[in-house]
Amino acid sequence: MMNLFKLYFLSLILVFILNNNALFCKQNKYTISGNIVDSTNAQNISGATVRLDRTGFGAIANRNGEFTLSQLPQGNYTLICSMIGYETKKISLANLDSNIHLMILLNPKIFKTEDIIISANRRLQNIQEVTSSSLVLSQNEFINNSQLNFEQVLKKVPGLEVYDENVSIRGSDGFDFGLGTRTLMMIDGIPLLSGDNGDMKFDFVPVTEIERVEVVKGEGSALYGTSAIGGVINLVSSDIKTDWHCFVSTFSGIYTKPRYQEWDYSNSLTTKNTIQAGFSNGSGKFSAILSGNVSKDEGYRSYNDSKDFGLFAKMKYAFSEASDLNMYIIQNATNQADWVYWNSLDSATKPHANTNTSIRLQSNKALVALLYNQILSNNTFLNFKSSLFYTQFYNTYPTNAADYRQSDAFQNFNDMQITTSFGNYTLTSGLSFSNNNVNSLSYGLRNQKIFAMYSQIESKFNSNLITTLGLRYDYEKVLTANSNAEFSPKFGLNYKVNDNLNLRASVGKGFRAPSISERFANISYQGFSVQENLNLKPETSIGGEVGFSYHNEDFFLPFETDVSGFINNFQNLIEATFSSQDYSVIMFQNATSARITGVDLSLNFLLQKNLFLNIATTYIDPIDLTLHQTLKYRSKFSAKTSIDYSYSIFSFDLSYRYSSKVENIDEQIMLQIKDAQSRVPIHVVDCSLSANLAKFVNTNLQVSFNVYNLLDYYYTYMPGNLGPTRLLGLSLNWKI
Amino acid sequence: MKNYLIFFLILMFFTSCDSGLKPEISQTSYVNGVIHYINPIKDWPPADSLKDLRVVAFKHFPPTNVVQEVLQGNAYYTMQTLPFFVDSSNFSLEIKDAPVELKYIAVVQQFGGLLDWRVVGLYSQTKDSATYLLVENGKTYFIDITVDFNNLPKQPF
Repeated sequence: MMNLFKLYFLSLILVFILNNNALFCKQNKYTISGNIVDSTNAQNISGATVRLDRTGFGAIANRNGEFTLSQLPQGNYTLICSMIGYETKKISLANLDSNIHLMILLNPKIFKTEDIIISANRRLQNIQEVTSSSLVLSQNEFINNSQLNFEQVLKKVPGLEVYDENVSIRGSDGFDFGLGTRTLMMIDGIPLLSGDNGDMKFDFVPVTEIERVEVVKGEGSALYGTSAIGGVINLVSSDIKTDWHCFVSTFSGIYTKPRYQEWDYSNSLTTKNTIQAGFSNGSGKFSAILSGNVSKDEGYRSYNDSKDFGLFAKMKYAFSEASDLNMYIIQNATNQADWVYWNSLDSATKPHANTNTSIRLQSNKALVALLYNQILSNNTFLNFKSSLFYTQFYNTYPTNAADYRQSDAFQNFNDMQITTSFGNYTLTSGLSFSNNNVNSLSYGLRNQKIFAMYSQIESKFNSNLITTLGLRYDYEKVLTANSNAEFSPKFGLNYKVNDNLNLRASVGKGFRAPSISERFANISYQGFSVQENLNLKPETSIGGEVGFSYHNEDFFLPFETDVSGFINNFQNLIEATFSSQDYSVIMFQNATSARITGVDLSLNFLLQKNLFLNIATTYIDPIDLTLHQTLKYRSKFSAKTSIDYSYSIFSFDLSYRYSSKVENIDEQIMLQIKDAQSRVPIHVVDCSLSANLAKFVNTNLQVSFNVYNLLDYYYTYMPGNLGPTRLLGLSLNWKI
Repeated sequence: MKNYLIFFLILMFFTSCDSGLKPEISQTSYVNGVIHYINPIKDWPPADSLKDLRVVAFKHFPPTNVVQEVLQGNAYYTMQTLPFFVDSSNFSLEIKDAPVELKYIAVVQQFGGLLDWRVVGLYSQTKDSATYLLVENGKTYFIDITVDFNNLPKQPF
């Protein structure tokens, strides 16, 4: 096996050496610099992305709208300048043989059809060119109304169901007791899944440090391997400003009293408060961001409070114009109540009667990561990622108590990627290795290693047709359990019919290796006990989608739309299964095969100047092919709609989220959780009124008043768990 | 057209939403009690056959089996397993749909698979004959049940 990896590694080196004349030829180097301005008001546009097509050269405009691309060999280039809210501009530069300075005028556009995305194919490209359904949220779309929390950010994304650190993309996830996820979450391509539970940590990265959130739906295993079976969420961190820059963001909210006296558990109103603050600076080749965050949430239920403290540091050292090293240090500590489920519907805001409310759950997380980028030539670039992600949790029961839970996990992740362009082809290849070490009273002493190699080639047969062919091989070795090998191929097509219409199609295979906890959990908590299953195998999915995007800004109601039809066939689906011997005992098993078919539809209208209407719906038909019934814990229909209006310094957002009633849950859970069958469709209305006070205070200051769950609608997001009740909040974002 | 769309959206916001879940407005009744185990601990069944121990009150007699009656809403049950290897233990049954007549109240033991239950104690004035209990709205009742693992009641299922 190792010989295979060595051979692959050597072939990668060979490919880029053969394609990399810069290593052997001393050439003259040139610079392209410029200014980017708004064509309507001549104002500088900061944050715009400038890149040379089919090369690794790129830059982001500074606060004065200036950019510089240096060390460019002589040659022909196409410069692409893009910025959210503006039309993308392409400039052909024939035979660059001297330094040049450009003045680039960008025209504002109505819709976001030309966003850039990095996660779809592990390289920066226009979202219209990718073959899977993808979506980008920029910071200004969520900073004012997210409660500074990623769970709230992701709830806005069509096709995603989000609750309690769990994301389900197009029905990929059900109720998994917080162990294992079918969505890979990353920061700048570095995985953020814990080494033991394989779960996401929403509170780990501060929202203020994220420039945009990229979501790629469907099997992502051909490039990202395990856990990307349902899709990928990549948090793209803000670029470090090289001049002095600081910010403060706060959110303060109050949960209103519940409508029913039976649910009123507290004499006073409970609150939620968060503050995130930091600064960045740079000098010469070195620049850094440092920030901290503190939050305290008293919760909307008794024994549901949490306290959170975190630090974030990102440092960048530019060795030259062609290479830089980024270092991340992120830390977070959380102390929270160990809420599991309610006492009953009559007392839905209280934990079940046997809960020991003096017990706290403590979790600590820390990430140290290095990201090295090297432009090897005008058509070849390399990046290397290495990270160490430490997660720890324990509750405060005595260590010899049955309900005591504890786990320490280290995940070491390494990835080397080379991207090279030749002719009409772009080849992305890499090697990846991750090593999970777990030291846990709950899971034992465990080790899981995953070796992987991947390659994807994109071909541009003419200016309109792009094909993508990718393959990834993963080999998983687990101490004291079975080893597994998986091939994950993917094929995609993207055809630009005209400037308004793009067609896309893709088929691929995804897989997920069971997490350490799914295999080895031997724990009991709050009436449930989980038993180990050493024979657990990876789950796989073969699926595909066809879709199109269309926009027409000349129609009497300018609009854009995106439609996808998709199908996923899961084999060996890992589900928490109740024991036939004892219905309080759970074991993770390859319980079933399943098929999820569905349709995604989104429509955005410009109703009148500055007034947008967005409608997004997802319908899925999740069938358990083993039991011939609807797959458990899935909503068939979901919809998200919003109206956005801006006038002068004000902007207003009214959004509505709907999920149909979950049809099917485990019957046995009703024996353990009182009124577990109490569930209804979800209707949640949020609204936000923001004011940009920059004009008055001569600095970038935004104030927002937000109401979450405006109608105070009561629902369960999983059995025995009431969803968040109405929260009134004020947020403030200040940058200088 | 635009105004219609806005009107439609606002209408959808406010008409599609009722208040969602609500606590059931009913007075809860309780059947509380004590279970007395007359056997010394050494005479309890072996631990590997004590999968679960609960108090279950059936609305019908004879019941078909424990799991089916519970899932069909025809029986009330203690939410957690009763403690093993003790002299006695308390229990509480919550009844929300009183008035109701409980025709068979028993301590049941799961000794094997999900459907493998047996009656080990019976609320009874005379051995092997279940005593009915009429539970009225908002009232609390206290009963005692005796368990003798060496002399089980007649099994109804």
